[in-house]
Amino acid sequence: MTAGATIFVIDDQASVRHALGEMLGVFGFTVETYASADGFLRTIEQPRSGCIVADVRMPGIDGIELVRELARRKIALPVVLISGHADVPMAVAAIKSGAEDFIEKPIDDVQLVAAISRALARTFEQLDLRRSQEALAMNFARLTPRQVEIFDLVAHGFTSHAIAAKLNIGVRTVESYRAEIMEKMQSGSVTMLVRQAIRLGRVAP
Amino acid sequence: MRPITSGEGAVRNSPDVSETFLVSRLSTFLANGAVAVTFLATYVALEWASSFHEYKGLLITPWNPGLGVLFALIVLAGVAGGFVLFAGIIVAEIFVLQSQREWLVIITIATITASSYTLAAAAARRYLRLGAGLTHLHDVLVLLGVGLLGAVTVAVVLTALLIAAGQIGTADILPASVPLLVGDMIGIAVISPLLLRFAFRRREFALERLLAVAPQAVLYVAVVGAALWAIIGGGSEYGFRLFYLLFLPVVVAAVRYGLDGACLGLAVTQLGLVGLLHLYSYDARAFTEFQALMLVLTATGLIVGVVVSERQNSDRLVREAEARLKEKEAEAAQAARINLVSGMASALAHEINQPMTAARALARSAQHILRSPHGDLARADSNLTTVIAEIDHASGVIRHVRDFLRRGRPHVSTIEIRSMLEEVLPLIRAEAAGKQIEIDLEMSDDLPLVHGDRVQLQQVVLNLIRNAIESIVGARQIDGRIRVAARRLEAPQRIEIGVSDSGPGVNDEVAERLFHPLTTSKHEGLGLGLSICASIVESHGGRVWLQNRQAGATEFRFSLPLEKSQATR
Repeated sequence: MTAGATIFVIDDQASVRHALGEMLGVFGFTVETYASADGFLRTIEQPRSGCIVADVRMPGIDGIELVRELARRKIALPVVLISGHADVPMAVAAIKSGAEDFIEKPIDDVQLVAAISRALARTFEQLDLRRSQEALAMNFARLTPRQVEIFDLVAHGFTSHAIAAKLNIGVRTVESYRAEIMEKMQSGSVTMLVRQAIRLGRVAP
Repeated sequence: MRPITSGEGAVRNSPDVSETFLVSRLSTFLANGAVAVTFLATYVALEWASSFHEYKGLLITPWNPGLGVLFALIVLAGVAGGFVLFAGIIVAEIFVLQSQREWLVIITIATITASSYTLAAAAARRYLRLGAGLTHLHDVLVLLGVGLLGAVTVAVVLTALLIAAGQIGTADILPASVPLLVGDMIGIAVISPLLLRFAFRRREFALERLLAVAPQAVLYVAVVGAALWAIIGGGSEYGFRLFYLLFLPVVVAAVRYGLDGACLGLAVTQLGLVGLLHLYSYDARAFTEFQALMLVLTATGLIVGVVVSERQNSDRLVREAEARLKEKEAEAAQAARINLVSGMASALAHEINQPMTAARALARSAQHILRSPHGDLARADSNLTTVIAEIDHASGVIRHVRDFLRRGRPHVSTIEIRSMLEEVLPLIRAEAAGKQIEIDLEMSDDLPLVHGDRVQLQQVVLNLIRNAIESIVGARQIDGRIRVAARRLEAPQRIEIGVSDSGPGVNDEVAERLFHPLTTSKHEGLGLGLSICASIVESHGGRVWLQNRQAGATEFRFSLPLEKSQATR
């Protein structure tokens, strides 16, 4: 379920780090452990997919700072923060910073795995979405200016006759433009075309 | 009274308030009235009992206990007491003495007497700060002084009045006025202090206490009785020479029981004296002379008594203050310990949570392995072995904390300095790490064993480290460093343990009073930490000092002497 995804366990306490790594490893995750956030940030050069499980209180960069630093570097890795002495302000700060979840030690593995799965699922969803969005934009870029004009009119609900009258061209010409647009946009129906126009921001939803 | 309290008009105007007010006023009034009547009756009865001499138709009472009673009332109750005295004199004059004087004269005598004493007492209370409880020498002296002043005024004015009225001639001035003066004085000196003490210190006169001293009282009465017999039985000339015998028992009573003893002793002596003088039919002149001597004895007894009481009282106050101080010190030590422990709570939660987290994760992974077909049993076994080690670690932490909380009296054992210090660090390291502070431990290899209370010494070290952390944090320093170092030193043989930090140092003002309780440079400190450290170290024969107060190298050190700890082995 998590092919290609790695769980990065970051905790300054060796016993905790190893135990969590062992447990997640036994559960079937690919795990890497780090003794500090600094160490992790140094190694994580190329973008990687997965989820971070990090202690809040650590010497050097702490867990909350790590979340902020990732956002600053635009590294889209979700972070599940864990803490041995959680209090409400800390939990609030953790969630506000953008952490995926905040779990108190000793850690309930069900809760941890659920948080990791949720984070990973969201990551993949976002990845898919981004990919399809990119494909759509690429297709749209292939349209000629005239085709774009007719695309917009179709998306706004004008019939072929109305478009022909508006642009002062023959209905048949409009029909042939529409067929070309449908093909370039890989769109099976007018409904789908309208949805694409919405996703592209050409039409208000 | 009833129509007022339940009358329609009163109810309509202000129903409850006026009613309860009137009832309470009424009951106070009745109670006061009862007191007044009792005192009045006592006065009249004493006048009757003590009047047995006559001088030219003047009844002379060479000892006036009734006046003593009412003077005490005047001191306590003020003007109201004066009115009782006024009434008492008139009633006594008419019914007891069956005076043939004119009304005007009687009323004048009563007015002069009552107003003199009332004014004297009021002035004493108001301007001379007379304490009616007679707890200080000052009070006794003022009481005797105003008594004397009142008596002199009354004697002079009354004598002048009688001369003016033609009842006595100028030759009679002394024979008439001296017994009056002495009698009034002795009444006030013997009776008033006794009553005032009784009114203010009823507990001291409780029955059990009186019963406890009963054998001594019997002995006292026997001694005084024998002395009086010797004095009175042999005729006045002989008796005056022996009067000094009475000083001894009175002074003994005063020294043993303070003013209360003196008052009771004097009352017994005076009653015995008066009784025997009357029994042996001494004349007014001899009677007055005996009373004058008695007056000296009374003043002596009262002064010795009040001085002794004052000293007993201040001794008691000192003892109470000492006990309170000791109690407070114990409380403060306990509070500091709790403060220390509660401050550690967050660090401890971390300390216990870490092994728990590891143990749980490993136990789950072992379970997961065991449940899956063809699981790696060796891996599960290794995980479970680590689980056990982690649980042992957690229970060690818990045991250690419990030791801290459970401290009562010191528990002396042989301590290895190295492990003692190593045990402290986990208690504080997490907290220090959270504040970006590193703690190093530096120990020489030749550290010997010492005798002492392991946990108390750990508390000292912990306290010093905690202070260092707070100092660094207070200065908003990043990457602070704390070093704990232990070394063995010669001449004298000792171990010195130092805690140094990279903080901002200690300023002159704080350094001066560092080890006093309630000195603190922290915003939220009790300031008890160092004073408690000092008392712990001192109880181990060592001392704590500020080795270096420079910024960046601040160091607190304490020493543990070796001869002593080894000698006790």
